[in-house]
Amino acid sequence: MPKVTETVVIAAAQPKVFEFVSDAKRAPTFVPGLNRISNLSTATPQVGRTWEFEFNWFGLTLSGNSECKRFEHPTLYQFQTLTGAKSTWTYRCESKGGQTQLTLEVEYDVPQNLLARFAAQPVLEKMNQNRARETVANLKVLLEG
Amino acid sequence: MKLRLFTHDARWVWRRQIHSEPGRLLQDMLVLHRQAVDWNGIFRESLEMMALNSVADNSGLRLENGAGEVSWQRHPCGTKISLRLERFSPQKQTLVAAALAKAARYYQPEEKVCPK
Repeated sequence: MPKVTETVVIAAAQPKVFEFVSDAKRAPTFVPGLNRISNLSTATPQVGRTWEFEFNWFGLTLSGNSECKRFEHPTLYQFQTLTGAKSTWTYRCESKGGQTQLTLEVEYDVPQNLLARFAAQPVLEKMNQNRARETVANLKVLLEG
Repeated sequence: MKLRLFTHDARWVWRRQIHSEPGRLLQDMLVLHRQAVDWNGIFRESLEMMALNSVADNSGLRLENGAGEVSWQRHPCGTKISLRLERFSPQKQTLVAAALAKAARYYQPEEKVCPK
């Protein structure tokens, strides 16, 4: 599966950063194109929590389900999109002298019919890389103020 | 996964951004809707999602520490929403405004956590 990785250092404590990124309902505030999250199965983040998402993918609306796969406070949070084009999103938080190094890794599967219809693979990779970069940049802005 | 050209049950939102002076973001939104909308609940929760506390006043919500306010007025065809943000960095002001516009368009008050 293709993979994109982005890292940013945030001037905030590791637990604060982890708790912010690991609550799926916050995601529309920092993930570009994510319209909404709904039908969360639990009030708090935990392994097995599921939710529905709706994503604006360059003018098309994609919707599907996701599930939290790993929740290791305050270091690692991972979820997978379960339907359609599958992807795995992993956030890693590492304390760096009072600041936090946040790494976002997105592994994604590209259905060939989607690829043929909308983009060549290198173009798609570039778009996903840009989206991951924007996501971590937005997190830095929101958490540092 | 479902693939659609349009989002069902989203509200129509028109945004107009006005920068009156450096360090301050002003934005108006006109939202079309037929049924009553709980704007207080929508915006309070959206601000909380960004770790921003707010208090209700007569016309809307005031952000803590004088960081701005969001207010709304009923309009014949919907609601006019006014947003003022200051004290944050320009990037954060833009992000907060975008998140509130997204909430105005997509958030449905009935979307609550469903315990298993």
